[in-house]
Amino acid sequence: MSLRKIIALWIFIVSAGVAIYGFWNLYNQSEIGYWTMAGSLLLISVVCYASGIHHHIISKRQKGLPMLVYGTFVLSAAALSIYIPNPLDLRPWEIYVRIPNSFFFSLFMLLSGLFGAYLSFRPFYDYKKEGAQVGAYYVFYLTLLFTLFPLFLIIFNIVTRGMGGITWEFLTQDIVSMGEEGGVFPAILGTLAMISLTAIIVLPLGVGTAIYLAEYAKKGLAVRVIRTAVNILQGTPSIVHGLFGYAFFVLILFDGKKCLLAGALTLAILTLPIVTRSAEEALNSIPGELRDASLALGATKWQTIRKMVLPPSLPGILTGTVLGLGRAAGETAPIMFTAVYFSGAGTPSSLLKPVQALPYHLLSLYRLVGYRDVEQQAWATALILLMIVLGINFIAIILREKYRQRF
Amino acid sequence: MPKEFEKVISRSSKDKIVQAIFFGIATFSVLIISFIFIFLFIRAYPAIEEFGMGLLSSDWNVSRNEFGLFPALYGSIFIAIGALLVSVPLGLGVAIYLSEIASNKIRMILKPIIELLAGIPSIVYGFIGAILLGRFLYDTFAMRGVNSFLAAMLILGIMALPIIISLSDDAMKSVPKDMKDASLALGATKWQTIRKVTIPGAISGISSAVIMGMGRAIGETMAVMLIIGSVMKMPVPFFNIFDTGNTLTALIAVHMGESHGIIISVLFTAGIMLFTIVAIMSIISDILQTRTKEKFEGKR
Amino acid sequence: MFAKIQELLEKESSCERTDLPDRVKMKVQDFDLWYDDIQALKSVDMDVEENKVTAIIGPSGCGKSTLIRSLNRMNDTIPSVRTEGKVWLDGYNIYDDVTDCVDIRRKVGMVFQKPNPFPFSIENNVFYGCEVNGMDVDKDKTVERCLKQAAIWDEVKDRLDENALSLSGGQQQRLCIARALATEPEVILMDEPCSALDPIATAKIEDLIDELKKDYTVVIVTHNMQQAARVSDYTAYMYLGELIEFGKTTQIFENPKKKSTEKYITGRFG
Repeated sequence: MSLRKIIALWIFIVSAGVAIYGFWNLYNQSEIGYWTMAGSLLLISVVCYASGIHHHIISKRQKGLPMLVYGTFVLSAAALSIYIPNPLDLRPWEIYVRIPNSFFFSLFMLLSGLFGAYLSFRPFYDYKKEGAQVGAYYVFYLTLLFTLFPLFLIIFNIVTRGMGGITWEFLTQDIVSMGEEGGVFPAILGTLAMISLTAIIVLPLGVGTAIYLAEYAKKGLAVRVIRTAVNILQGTPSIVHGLFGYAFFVLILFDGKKCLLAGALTLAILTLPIVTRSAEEALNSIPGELRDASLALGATKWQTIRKMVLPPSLPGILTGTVLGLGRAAGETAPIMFTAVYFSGAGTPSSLLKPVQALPYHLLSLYRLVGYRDVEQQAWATALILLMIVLGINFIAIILREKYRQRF
Repeated sequence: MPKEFEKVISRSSKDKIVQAIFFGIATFSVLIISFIFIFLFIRAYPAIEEFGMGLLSSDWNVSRNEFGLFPALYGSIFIAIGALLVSVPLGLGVAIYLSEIASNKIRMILKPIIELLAGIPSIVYGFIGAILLGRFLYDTFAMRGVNSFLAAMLILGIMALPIIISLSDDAMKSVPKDMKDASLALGATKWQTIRKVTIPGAISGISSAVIMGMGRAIGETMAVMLIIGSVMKMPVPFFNIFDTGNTLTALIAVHMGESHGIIISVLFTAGIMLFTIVAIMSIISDILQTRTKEKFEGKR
Repeated sequence: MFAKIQELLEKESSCERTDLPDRVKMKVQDFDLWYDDIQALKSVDMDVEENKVTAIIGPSGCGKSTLIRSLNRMNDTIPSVRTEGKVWLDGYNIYDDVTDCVDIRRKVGMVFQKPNPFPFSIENNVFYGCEVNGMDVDKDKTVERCLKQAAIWDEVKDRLDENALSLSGGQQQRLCIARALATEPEVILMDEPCSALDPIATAKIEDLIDELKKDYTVVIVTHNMQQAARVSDYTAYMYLGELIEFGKTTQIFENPKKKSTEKYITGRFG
């Protein structure tokens, strides 16, 4: 084991320690003194210098320069940061915020620690190209970590804060006094009714479109136009669906009244591209020989599709539909002008009456936070909504995994 | 169906009828797109007729009958760019990790987890963003309120991650394996192969992923509405991420319930702007995606 | 974790060595390979002689592609693969834990079944290997040398900056050979290099192989027995993952010792 590797290992350990410490303080918003930061930066710069000098002078390969430069940078940052006023006031630029030293120092420690650790891989691997590879992998692991961290935070917070509000009463009663008491029972039922109705509307449309695209016409102008339309529909913002639902379904079809059916129709338009695309994918995954074999036996195209192609692709189609419904269950914008009331709609009884729904319920409760004591109820609503939506997604994922193993 | 009738039409002509039915269903999407445009336009027309180019000015004052949508348009694009600054580096890193580095087992675990990120409803993102992130930033920076562009950018950055990850993952998977093998056989490391063969090969697919992510960020409604504060003004100075402002989506969502008359019409105009921008982005990204596919599959 | 660090730190220990007989460039010794539970190679032993062409023949699925991919550790890119045994290159075991498989692949170049040029210009295709290996060579000279050696220089010298995908299949395959030559390898592996080509392009590649053996050691997998007979000096016959017979090409084709070989050569084989 050579001296170079020991030094490189030390740089990694020290830098990673500083980065973790910085992150911890950033997360907890705790105070961090000037001397703490200067001390930890000094630690990094000393090992960097050791490594840089070792390479630059003792070994003939003059590759220690980045380490020397970085060591100098960190050292001067440690020395100069004493001149940063506490807190950093941006008001002279008409930006009304003050950045406290604790935040600035923690962020700087986090970043310099991460970069120092990154630099340590190359000397560790003898400056071969493997070193660059390990360094790059380390960056990818970090991005993965930074992606999973918010997900963890969101789910952790909703579960811990929402659990307290979920009681039997909350699950089985209508709201009382603007959400301060009572529960979300009609909203749960409303959401479930809405997505069931959406499923009934969207399945034939989506699967029919997919069958046309995958089985009947593969090329040509019509297909290109249809496919572009599906893609545009997929990218269309949900608020635009809401506007359209209001302008067409509510104002023209239903006489200016919000109702369950108008909401379900709007959500069907929203989920149509998702169902179409996954159904098309499922149909395309059926091997072509199967179709040829059936056609060669004298079956018509429609018989082939019905008997040979549709049954094995059913799980895939179902997965896509369920995923689309999961998205629909969580949407607020398309239904807020077309189908929902905050309170008073009661349990859904007719297609032509408005309903209550969980996402809109959460929005309304949020608007009341600060005026009334509803934050606990809001967290609980968020938890129930999350459980329903993720439960639907979970079903879809399980369906897909089963289906994948079969082929 | 009566038996005689079934005999009259031959099986193949019946097949033609079935085909026609499916064609009818398939044109539904096209129909919806044109309906959306037509009905939005009908509702928006009174405002366009009355204000004309005044709708693009930056003055919004309901009592003086001034409805300039520019601050909202600016806010939408500003937030989308900020969100991309968060989500593109993270998303690309994760996509490269998933498609090129991770073993199959890890991939099988990670993909559903990242899909969870896409599954969380936007209203929940908004709620969390306003309550937790908003308060965190408010405490840390002593801001004037919990609403800010910065919080919206961070939350939208997270929300755009899944789409960027999955689309660029697809793009990199579509680079043929024998091309990657050729690079490895020449003595390149895996990382060199990723950098010099996979990413250049998938570049148009990756840019389409970025555009789709931006489209998602521009079109996002509920999360932005709760976080941004929906104050109809430009941030001062224009790059001030700590200020509040508005977006097209939040403007529509907030005012739709409580306005009437010409304002509704103005909101529909905002809807048309939004729809046009996102539709153009979808088309561009679609073209880029097919280009990646043709690049490798066309020659074989 | 500490065990892993320890392992990394002790990586500097030296590679396993042996003395190979004269003129033997590579030696496969008692080599087994599994895909998960399926054994694809069963204790294979084979010598590859320097500056000669060694052909590997056999019915499809017999493991000839797997064997040739073992010679530069390309099988390492498939996660389910497990190996046992040794492959010696110039007396070094390339399957030693210490050996750097990236370095092996520079010394042992490879040409694949389907022509697979990168989607960039012709000269960048050729120079790619030098670039990733950090070789300090002149770009123009290297490109010219390799393209000339691969007998494609005259066809492409005026359009070196054109995209390589615009070439025809045979040209693409010769470009891939040129690309493999750029890293100055000692051995060149060819995995059915002509299977995707027409007869004229095939003849060109066969002439090229004959040229190449002056400077390089060539190992070629082919399902075409006439091709093996035309280009190779030594032939190995494989069946169901086992090396049935190995010897001079003339001997294998004129006087096979094993029944199975004779059946295959004479075409009386399923």
